[in-house]
Amino acid sequence: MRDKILRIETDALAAINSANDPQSLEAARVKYVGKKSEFMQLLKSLGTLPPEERPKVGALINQVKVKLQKALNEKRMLLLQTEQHQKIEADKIDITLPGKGIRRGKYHPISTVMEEVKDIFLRLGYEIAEGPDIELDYYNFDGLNIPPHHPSRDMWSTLFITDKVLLRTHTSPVQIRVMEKRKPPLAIIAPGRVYRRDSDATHSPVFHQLEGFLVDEVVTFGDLKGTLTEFLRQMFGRKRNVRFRPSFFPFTEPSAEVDVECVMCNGKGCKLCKGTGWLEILGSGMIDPNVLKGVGYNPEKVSGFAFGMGIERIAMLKYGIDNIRLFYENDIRFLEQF
Amino acid sequence: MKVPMDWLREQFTTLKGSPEQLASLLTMGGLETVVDAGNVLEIDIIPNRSDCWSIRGIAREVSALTKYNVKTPPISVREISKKVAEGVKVEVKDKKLCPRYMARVIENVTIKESPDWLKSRLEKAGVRAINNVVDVTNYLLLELGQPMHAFDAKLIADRTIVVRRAKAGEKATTLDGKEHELSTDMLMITDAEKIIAVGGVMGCANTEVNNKTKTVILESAFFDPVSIHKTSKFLKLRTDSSIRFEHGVDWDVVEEALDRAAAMIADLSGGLVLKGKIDKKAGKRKPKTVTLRPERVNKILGTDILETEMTGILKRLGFGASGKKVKIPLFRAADIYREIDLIEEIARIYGYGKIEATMPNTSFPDKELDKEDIFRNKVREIMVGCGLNEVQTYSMQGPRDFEKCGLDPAKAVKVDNPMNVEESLMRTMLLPSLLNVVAHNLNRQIEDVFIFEIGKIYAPTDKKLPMERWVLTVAITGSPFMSAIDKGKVDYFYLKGILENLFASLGIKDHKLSEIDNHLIQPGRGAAIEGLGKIGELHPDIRKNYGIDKPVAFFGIDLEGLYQLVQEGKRYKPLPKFPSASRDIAMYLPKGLENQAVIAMIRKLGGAMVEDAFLFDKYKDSLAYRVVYRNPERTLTDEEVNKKHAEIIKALESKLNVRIRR
Repeated sequence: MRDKILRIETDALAAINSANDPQSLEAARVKYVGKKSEFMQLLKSLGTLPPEERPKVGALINQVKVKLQKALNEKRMLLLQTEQHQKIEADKIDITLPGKGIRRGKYHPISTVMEEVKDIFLRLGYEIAEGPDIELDYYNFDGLNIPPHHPSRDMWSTLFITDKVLLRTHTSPVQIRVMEKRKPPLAIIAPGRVYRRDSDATHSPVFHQLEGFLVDEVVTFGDLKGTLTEFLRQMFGRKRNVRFRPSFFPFTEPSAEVDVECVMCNGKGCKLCKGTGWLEILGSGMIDPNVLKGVGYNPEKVSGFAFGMGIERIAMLKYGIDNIRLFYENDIRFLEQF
Repeated sequence: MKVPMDWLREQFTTLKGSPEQLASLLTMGGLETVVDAGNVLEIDIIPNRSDCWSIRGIAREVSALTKYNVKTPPISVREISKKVAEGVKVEVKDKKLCPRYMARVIENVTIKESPDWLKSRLEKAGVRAINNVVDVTNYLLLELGQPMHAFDAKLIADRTIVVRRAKAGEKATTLDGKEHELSTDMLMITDAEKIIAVGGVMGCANTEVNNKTKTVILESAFFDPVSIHKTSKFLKLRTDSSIRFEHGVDWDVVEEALDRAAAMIADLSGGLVLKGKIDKKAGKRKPKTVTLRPERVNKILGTDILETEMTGILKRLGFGASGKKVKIPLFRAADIYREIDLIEEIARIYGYGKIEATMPNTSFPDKELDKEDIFRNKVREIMVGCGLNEVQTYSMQGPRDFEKCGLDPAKAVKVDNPMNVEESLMRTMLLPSLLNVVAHNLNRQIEDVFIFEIGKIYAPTDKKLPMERWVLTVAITGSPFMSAIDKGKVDYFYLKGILENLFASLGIKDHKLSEIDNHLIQPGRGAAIEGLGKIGELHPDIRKNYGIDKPVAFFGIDLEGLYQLVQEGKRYKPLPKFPSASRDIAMYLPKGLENQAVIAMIRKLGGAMVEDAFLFDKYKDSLAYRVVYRNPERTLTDEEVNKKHAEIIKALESKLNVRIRR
C-alpha cells in the first residue's frame, strides 16, 4: 500500500511536471487526484487496513495529497503566466507602422497670423470692429484727409466699382465708421480684406490688413511707440529691437514707419532685409486733426494714434515665404506645412 | 531721386560724414536713403516732401540733421541792351492754372555738347545729356527743383507765347513722339498758331531746341498742382517736370532758376541774354505764419523738449521762428500750414528714437464683443477638426468661373477697372473658387482634397453699397479615411456627417433637410439645408467643366443665418430619474419613403411616451430602428411598452406601407 502511494506520487509529479498546457494539466489532475482516480480509490480502501496501520497510511495519503495539490496549483499558475506571456509576445506590434489616419485639417497661414495679431491686441484691451469690403470713396479717402485729385490718392492703386464706390484699399475706413458712431475712449482693431490694382511676387490684388487705433483725452506719440513696441515684441520676440522712422500718411501726423530687426539675420544685414538689418512691418502715426474734426471730435480735447499692417507680409516674414501667390493658390502641400 | 555726393557737398561750406552716415541720418529723418555705386545717394521722396525733389532740398534736410550750414551761390546775369520784350511776347489767359509765368531770351547761342563735368553730373543723377541748353534746364531742375523749358525762338509763330486751356478736340504731339487728345481742363503753352507744350508736363517736338537753334526762349513758371496732376494722370505722362509741379514748386525759385539758367546758357553757348525778364504773375505769394505752442508739442509727443531746441530745429529747416509765431518758407507752403505739421517737423529732427515709449493711460469701458467674429472662428475650428484644410481665395472671379458653374454674371457686382477679366466680378458663391482649388490639386497628383473657406459673397442692391454676407463652403473629394486598409470614398453621407458634426458642435438639433432640384447637384444625391444653403454631390456636368473625373461633394451655408440659429442660450435639462425601455423594429421601406418620414411617424404615434427614435442598423435592405420609451414620473411596465410598441408597428405597416421583418 505504501509503495503504491509513493509510486502514484512519483507518477503524478512526473505528469504534472510534463504538462505543457492547461488541458494536459487538467488531465493529470483527473487521472491522479480526481474522484475516480486510483489515489481516491486507495483513500476509500483505507478501511480495509488493519486499525493500527490506518493512521500512518492515512497521514501519508494526506501528505501526498497536499503535496500533489500544491504541485498542481504551482503548475497551474506557471502555465497561466506562460500563456499570458505568450499572448503578450504574440500581440507585439511594429510601433513604426503608421497610425490609423484620423483626418485633421489645417488653418490657412493667413488666418493663423491674423488670429495671432488679433489675440495680442485683444489682450491689450482692444475690441474688434468690421466694415464692408466694398466701400464708399468718402470713407476710403475723403474722411481720411485724402481729398479728390490729391496726388496722395496715387499712393493706392484703386479698383473701382463706380465713381463713388470702390474696393477698399486699406482697413482705415473702419476708423471713420466707428468714430462717426461712438465717442472716445476707443481702442479698436479692424481686421479684413483689402484690394489694390497690383500684382507681383510681393503684391496681391487681394490681401489682408489689420488696422488699429486708440483715441482718448491724452494719447501721445510715446504711447504709440510703447504700444507698437509691445506688440512687435510679443509677435517677433522680446529681444528684437524696434525702430520708428518718420514717414508720410495723409491721415496721420506725425507719421511713423515701424521696423523690426530682421528675423533672418538678426540685424546683421541679408537678402531679406536688403542689407539694412531692418524689416518694415507697420505704418502708424498720430491721427491727423483733420480726421478727428471730420468725425466731429475736437482735436484740442482728444488725441489718438492709428496703425496698420499687412498680414501677408508678416506671414511671409514669419514663415520665409517668398511669393505671395502661394497663399491664394491653396496647394494642399503648401497648406499642410502650417 | 539720385543725389551725387560731390554735388551735395557743394551746397555746404563744410559737410562732414561718409555717404553711409548721411544715408542713415536721412533715413531716420524720414527719407529712406541707400548709397549706390559711385557715391550717389538714392533717396525715396515721400509724397508730401515736394521740397526734397532737388539737391537744394536734400541739402536743407541734411543741414537740419547735421547742423552744417547751407550756402547759396551768387547769381550774376550779364545782359545786353536789347530788351526781352523785343524777343518774345507772353500772354497768360488762364491765371488760375498758371499763376506765374516768366521768360528770358538768349540770342546768338551755339548748340553743342555740354562740357564733361556737366554731362557726368547729369548721368550720375540718372539724366541723359542732350545739348548745352537742354542740359542746363535739367541741371537746374535737379539742383533747384524748378522745371524749365527751352524753345527755339525761330519756330515760335509771331514770337508770341499764349498760355491757355486746350480747345475741345485739339491734339498735341509731345517730345516722345506720342499724339495726345486733349480736354478743355488741360493747360497748354501755345504760340500764335499751335500748341508748343503741354504746360508743366512735356514740350512738343515742333519748337524743340535743335542743332540749328540760334535764339532760345526760356520758360520758368508756377503751374497749378491739381491741374498738372490731373493732366499727367489722364495723358499717362509722368515726367521729372510733372512730379515737381504737381506737388507745387517754390514761388521764389521760379525766378532764381530762370536767372541761373540764363547765366549758365550764356556761359556754355556763347549766347547773349536780352535785358530783363517777362514776369506775368497773379498776385504775390507771401510766407504764412503758424502759431506753435511748445506745451502742445510736448503734450502730443509725450516729451519735454525745450522751447529753444524747438526753435533751433525749425530754423535749420528754413523756418522763420521767433516766439510762438513761425513763418513758413514758400518751399514748404505745400505741406506745412498747421501747428501739427510743425510738431511733426520737430519730432522727426529731434529724433523719433529719443521719444520715450510709454503705455496709454486709457480705460476701456463699454467694450463690445464682436460675437460674429468669435462665431466664425468657432466654425473655422470645427471645420478644421473635421479634417478640412482652410483655404483663402480671391473675392473676385471671372466670367469663366461663372460659366463653369452655370451662374449668372449679371447678378454680380462688377469691378470697373479690373487687372484682368478673371478678376472682374465679385463672387456670388465661393464654390467656383473652391472647385478651382480642387482641380489645381488633383492636377498635381494630390488625390484627397478636403477644403473649406469662410468668406464673403457680394450682390448688387439698390442702396449705396452692395450686399456682403459671410458664408461657409466645403468641398471634398478622394478618400475620407487615411487608413491603409479602409479608405472609403467621398459621398453625400460622408459630407453629411461633417454637416451634422457642425450642427452638433453648435448645439443645433434636427435641422431639416429637404429635396432639392439644383443644377449644381447630381439629381437625387443632395438636399436643401432649410433656410441656410445646400449640400450634395456635384453634378457630373459641372465636374466635367473642371476636368475632375471623380465624385466631389460640397455644401454651402449662410453663416449669418447659422449665427441667428445659435443665439438662443442653452438651458440645463434635469437628468431622467427613471429608466428607459428600448424596443427595436426591423423593416423594409417601400421605394420613395424617407428615413426622416419614418422617424417622424414613430414620434407622432408614440406621443409623450417616445423619448427618441433613430435608425441604428442596416442589414442588406432591412433597416433597424430603435424606439426609446420613457416616463419622467415613474418606471414604465413591460406591458404598457409592449402594447404601445405593437400599436406603432401596426400603424407603420398600415400608414407607411412598410414590411416588417420578423
